[in-house]
Amino acid sequence: MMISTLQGWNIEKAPTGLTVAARYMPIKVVTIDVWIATGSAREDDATNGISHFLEHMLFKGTSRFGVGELDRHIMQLGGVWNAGTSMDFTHYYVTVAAPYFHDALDAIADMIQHATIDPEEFEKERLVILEEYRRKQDDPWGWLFDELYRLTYEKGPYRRSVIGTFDSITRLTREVMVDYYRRTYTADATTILVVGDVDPDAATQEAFHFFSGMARNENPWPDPAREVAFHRGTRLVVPRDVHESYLALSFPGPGIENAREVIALDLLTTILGGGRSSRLIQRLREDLQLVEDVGMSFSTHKAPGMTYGYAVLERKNLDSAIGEFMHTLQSLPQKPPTDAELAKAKRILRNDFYYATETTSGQSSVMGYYMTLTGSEDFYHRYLALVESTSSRDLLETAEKYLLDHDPVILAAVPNTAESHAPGDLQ
Amino acid sequence: MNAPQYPMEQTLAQGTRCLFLPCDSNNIVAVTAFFPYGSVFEEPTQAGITDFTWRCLLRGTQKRSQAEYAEAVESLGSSISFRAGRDFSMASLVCTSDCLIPSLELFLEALEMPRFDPAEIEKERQTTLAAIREELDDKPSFAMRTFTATLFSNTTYGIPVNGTLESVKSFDQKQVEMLYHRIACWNHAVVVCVGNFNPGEVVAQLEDSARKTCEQPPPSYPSPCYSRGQNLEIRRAWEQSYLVIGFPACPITHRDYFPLRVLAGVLGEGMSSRFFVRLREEKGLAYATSCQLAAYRCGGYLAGTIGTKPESLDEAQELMLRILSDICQEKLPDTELERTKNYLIGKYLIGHQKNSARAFFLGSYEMLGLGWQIDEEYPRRLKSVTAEDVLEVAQQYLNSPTVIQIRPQG
Repeated sequence: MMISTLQGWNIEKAPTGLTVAARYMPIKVVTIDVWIATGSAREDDATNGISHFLEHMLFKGTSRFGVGELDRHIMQLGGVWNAGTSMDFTHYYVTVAAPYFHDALDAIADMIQHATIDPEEFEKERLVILEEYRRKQDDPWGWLFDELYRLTYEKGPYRRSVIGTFDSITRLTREVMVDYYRRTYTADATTILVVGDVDPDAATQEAFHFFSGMARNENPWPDPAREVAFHRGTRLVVPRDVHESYLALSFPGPGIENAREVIALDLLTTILGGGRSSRLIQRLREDLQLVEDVGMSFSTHKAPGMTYGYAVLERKNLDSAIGEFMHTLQSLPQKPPTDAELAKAKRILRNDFYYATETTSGQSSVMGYYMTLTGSEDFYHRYLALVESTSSRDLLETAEKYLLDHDPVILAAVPNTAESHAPGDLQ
Repeated sequence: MNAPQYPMEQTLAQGTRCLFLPCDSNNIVAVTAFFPYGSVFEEPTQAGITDFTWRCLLRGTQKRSQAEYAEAVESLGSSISFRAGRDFSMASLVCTSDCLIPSLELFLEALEMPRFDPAEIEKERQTTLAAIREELDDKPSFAMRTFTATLFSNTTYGIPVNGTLESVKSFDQKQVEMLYHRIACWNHAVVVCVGNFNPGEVVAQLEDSARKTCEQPPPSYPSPCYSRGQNLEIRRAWEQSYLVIGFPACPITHRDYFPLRVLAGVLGEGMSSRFFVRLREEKGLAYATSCQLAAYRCGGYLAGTIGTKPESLDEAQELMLRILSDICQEKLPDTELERTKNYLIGKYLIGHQKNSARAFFLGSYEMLGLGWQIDEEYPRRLKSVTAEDVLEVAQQYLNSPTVIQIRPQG
């Protein structure tokens, strides 16, 4: 058993690979957050959406809890629970008053290890997921970012939408799902976070006890090719039933194993588009009034992630806004981040980290995310030190590598009115 | 420092009521100032002007331009936001303990000495118009805007907090400045401070810098006029249809509030609620379905919502109406009542983890006329609701539904 007790965390890893991280917080609730290192990045075209579909099916009952009984049980405890599926992970979390820790742990452990995936419920849930798909298609930002990922990655695990396509959701079978479940929800892919009013050591042992049925993976689900290639220069403007125009631009980025570059991009995108005083807001919104909102961020993934900008604007300003956005980026070598800008960005990231970890579920989310993506707690513990040690030169080097020599993918949703004709250089 | 259970109350020289809840579980401080002015007081032609006025305060002060002000706040890693709600407005600051004093100075600077530069007001107008257009593009937001406008006949609680595309275009600098002098008055404000801070330092800074008062008392809250039993069908080019079925509800201070709170929970909160189980789990009609209870100072609504494919809309409506009818026919089983109450109480307590959330609850209850003490009593009041209480309010409130259908074009 490997044990670590950094900064109040009790972290233990069993010989099976199952990891438990627990931390006391002086707050009268406890969050149990179970992270499985699988998501849409493990899928291919035929199985696209299976991770998300499976996440839904886990709520539909186990050998001990019939359909709906798990939900009723957690509600009876006064608990709040849910789950989320992404590209590199799926996680299930429940928050309850501290006295109900054991009951909640028992329920979530049973759900994750012994889901029935009932055939009849499988077909009913397919209809629910198709409704979720339709809902996302109607949401301008939801649609835009799914499309942006698809257009950004020429190759690699992040081309596909987490929810799947209408066609793939329609074709997924229960047999394939059961196989996927058995070969991905295994001890070595699982990290359990317990945060709140508990004794971390005792909580850790209880977590190991309730998850003792999980074994190491002897027959892993095949990983699709993880080689990543980015598209350049694709441009697409899509008329939709919207009153506003929505714009997104994407660039490459590093994977999380390159921690220094990840932090540098976090700082750089904060300086460029991370607040009311950022360069893009000041230039495009306040000075030129080309956009109503603009920002920039970096999506950290296990494999190379995506750096992106976004804006809300009037249709007529689309070309000018794109031009100014690119000009702001391209002028970085002549106008490198100042000491004041860097200090401000560091303060913003530091405080965002504090604010994000104010709640039990916030702590478990941040720690669970980094542990699942990197396989260790190091990134979480080193995050603030890495932020502090990053220099303006690091930022410029990272910009040169990922942003300055790259023709971005540009995607916009515009009102489908008569005046929303295609602009000069976009089609 | 141990966290006290109850806030300390203090009234400052200028008349500001303060609630201080110091606790050292983290190094975050939330300061929220509540002012008793919201969109409920607005005329339809001036819809959104209260919220707009608050937002203009962040567009530069007499000491700093918009850019300089934003730079100063963000250099501290702090967050300052001003906004109106239906019944009251909030000025909020969240910062780390080590930056409280300079952050509070900036917070008060914006509230006390706004610049109201016409060019900046124009920029804020464009930002607000874009935010409204974004709401019109978001199906649930669009549906609820339409529903509240219909139920309240475009008045009181039917006025969109951020206004309409027409009203926002009409605001001018003079109107904004006049309203500011009426609403940003410290003798009507309640300030709530939660986190790791020294109350003496906050009091000193507020007494020194929060000076603007006015003699005119806040207006009396108007009673809403409900338009029951309306049916509206709207066409949008969306893949999914959307349905809202709603009813007038009581003010939050009314004795029916807690039974209605439980009723809304039974109908559509959590994965065991009747809408979730019967519309989603049994029929597969939706991904999202819910029941919302909005209880304001002088009125409110209870509304069921569902997004479903166009060909299922009529079935969803029929089933939702049947669920609403069934709950008026017989008392809730004990197990369902207890489970719902436990869930609502648990959710309420879990929602209090952030310092900013605790400040929000305490101050909101003061503004809504319940007093901050209700925050502590809330779980007990929920627990005391009986099946008879729920049946009674169901029969009283769930009639003459207002129905909004959003269907695809063509």
